[in-house]
Amino acid sequence: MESYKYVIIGNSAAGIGTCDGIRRVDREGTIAVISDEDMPAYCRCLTSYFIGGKVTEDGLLFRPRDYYQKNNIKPILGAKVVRIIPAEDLVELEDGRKIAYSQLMLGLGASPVLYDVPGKEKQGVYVLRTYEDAKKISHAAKPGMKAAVLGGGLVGLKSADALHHRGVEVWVIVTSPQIMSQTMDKDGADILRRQLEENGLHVMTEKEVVEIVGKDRAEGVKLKNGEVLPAEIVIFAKGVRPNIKLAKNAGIDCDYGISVDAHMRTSVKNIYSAGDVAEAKDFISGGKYIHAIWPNAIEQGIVAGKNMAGENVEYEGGIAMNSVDLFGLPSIAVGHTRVKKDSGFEVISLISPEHRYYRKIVLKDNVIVGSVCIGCIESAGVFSGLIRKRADVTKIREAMLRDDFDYAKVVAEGVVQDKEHFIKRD
Amino acid sequence: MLKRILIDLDKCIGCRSCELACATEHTAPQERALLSPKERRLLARMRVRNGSIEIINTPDGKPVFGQQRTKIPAGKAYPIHCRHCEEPKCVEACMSGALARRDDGAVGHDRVGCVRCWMCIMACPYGAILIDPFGKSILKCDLCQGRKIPACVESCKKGALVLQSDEGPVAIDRAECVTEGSD
Repeated sequence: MESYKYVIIGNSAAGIGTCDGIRRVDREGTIAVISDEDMPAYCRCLTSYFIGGKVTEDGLLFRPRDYYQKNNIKPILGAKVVRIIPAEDLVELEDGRKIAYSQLMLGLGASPVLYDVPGKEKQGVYVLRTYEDAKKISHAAKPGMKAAVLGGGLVGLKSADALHHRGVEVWVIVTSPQIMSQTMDKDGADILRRQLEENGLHVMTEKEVVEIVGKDRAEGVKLKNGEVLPAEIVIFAKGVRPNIKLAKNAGIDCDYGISVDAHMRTSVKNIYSAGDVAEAKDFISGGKYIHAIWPNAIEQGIVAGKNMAGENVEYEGGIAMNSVDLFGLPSIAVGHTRVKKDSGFEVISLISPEHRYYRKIVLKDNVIVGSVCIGCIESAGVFSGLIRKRADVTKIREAMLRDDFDYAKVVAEGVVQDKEHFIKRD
Repeated sequence: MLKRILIDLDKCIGCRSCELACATEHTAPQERALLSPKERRLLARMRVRNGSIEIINTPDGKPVFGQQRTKIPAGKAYPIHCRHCEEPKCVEACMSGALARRDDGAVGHDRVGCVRCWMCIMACPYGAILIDPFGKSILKCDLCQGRKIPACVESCKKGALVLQSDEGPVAIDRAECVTEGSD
């Protein structure tokens, strides 16, 4: 029977982050990475770029092809894990093979949600998560076609943008009153909507698709008000759900996702979890939450890996962070960006839709807990840093909203001390 | 042997020679010929930032969108470079793999692999990653690969930029300095 010191299920951000974390501590211990996809580590966030023709298959890879060999990692690709047996420290593959581990990491990821809309099984109806999904959509997309994208989150908008670049006429259909309802506030979303519409996309808010019409193939979508929009391509982009089934069956504690502690350990000994499936510490609230985003998956993987290899590192906690560039208009939202009135948060903002400029800072007791930058984003990371430092920003309140805000002002006003880098003698 | 550039604020006068030297180092001669010095400066991979929070250069005191104000008052100049962090947030955030730690310890960037997703900009707490004004990629300090002393450090006549290695400050040997390079 094959046996490895470290077995990692999942070959995306969390899995590769774990390999990186392990190899920073342990150069020798054997590692196996198992994935049901037969493809070296590639980035799912780039699948829409592939459809849009902006990257090739090689461009999807976020590590060189020789990464496994160089780091002495055994990739077991195209193999599905069907069972985890913690009592025997084994995982079982679909072909019956059993693989023994000393330490196991579950980077099981998440899957797109397919809502129960009649006609969803028709040809021409897709989700976008994997490279396989992207290839199918890319193959189907022909100039002059019409497409309906259901959902106005990042995946929805990025797929819409990609199809548009392929000459497809796209309708984005959203049930909420705004696009990006999970990651952006209304004012910001309105600027982005205008950007999409001026570039030829159709955006419909507060509209629900009740049926996908057509014979065997999708021909259109029927809205609640009875209206039918023609569409040969329908993409479901209504969010993802963590893949917890394997873990649950193995008796590992799960809530919405797999619950992990600050060391990324699950409830079962020698089993860790990270990425879109792991319900880990939230930096701002201190509670548990899944921020299913790339940087968090990498970081959690690194923490898990280091701990698996015997170090003692704690995860600081995740922060929601999203960046999207729509037709040349960049936008970044970090942390709490949608807060209700009288909820104890203070909001300061500066908006100029004609300049495509928007900046909003959400504060709690003079500490930043969220920020939105549209149009001018070069200092967006400075806000992320200030959130992490929990720095009192009273002195730079007004300056933060301007487009010339940068890290110099943070240091000059003493909001953050940076004496190791900036030498000053008085 | 990881090298870093430290800033001696008492010595910096905000002349921005370092920006121009950086831009020159990282553009090919044929590219430079097509650009005015002002445009070329925008290709620098570091910036001298203004620490003043006063609004200047706008007559009505209102912010000017999309226009960085350039005049830096005395004592408020802050050259900002990539720090080549030990645990770089930008590398964690980079979804294309274009940002990666090089064998010499510096955080390098592959312009061809970059997909312009701006995730690194979102993650860098120093705002040290810049957008290429021609929109092709990001701009970040690479510690001038192939040079012993980075162009910005070499260009600073006041000695405000100090190259630091694990063993301490690296002395500049003027005889070894070259005046021009290319990407």
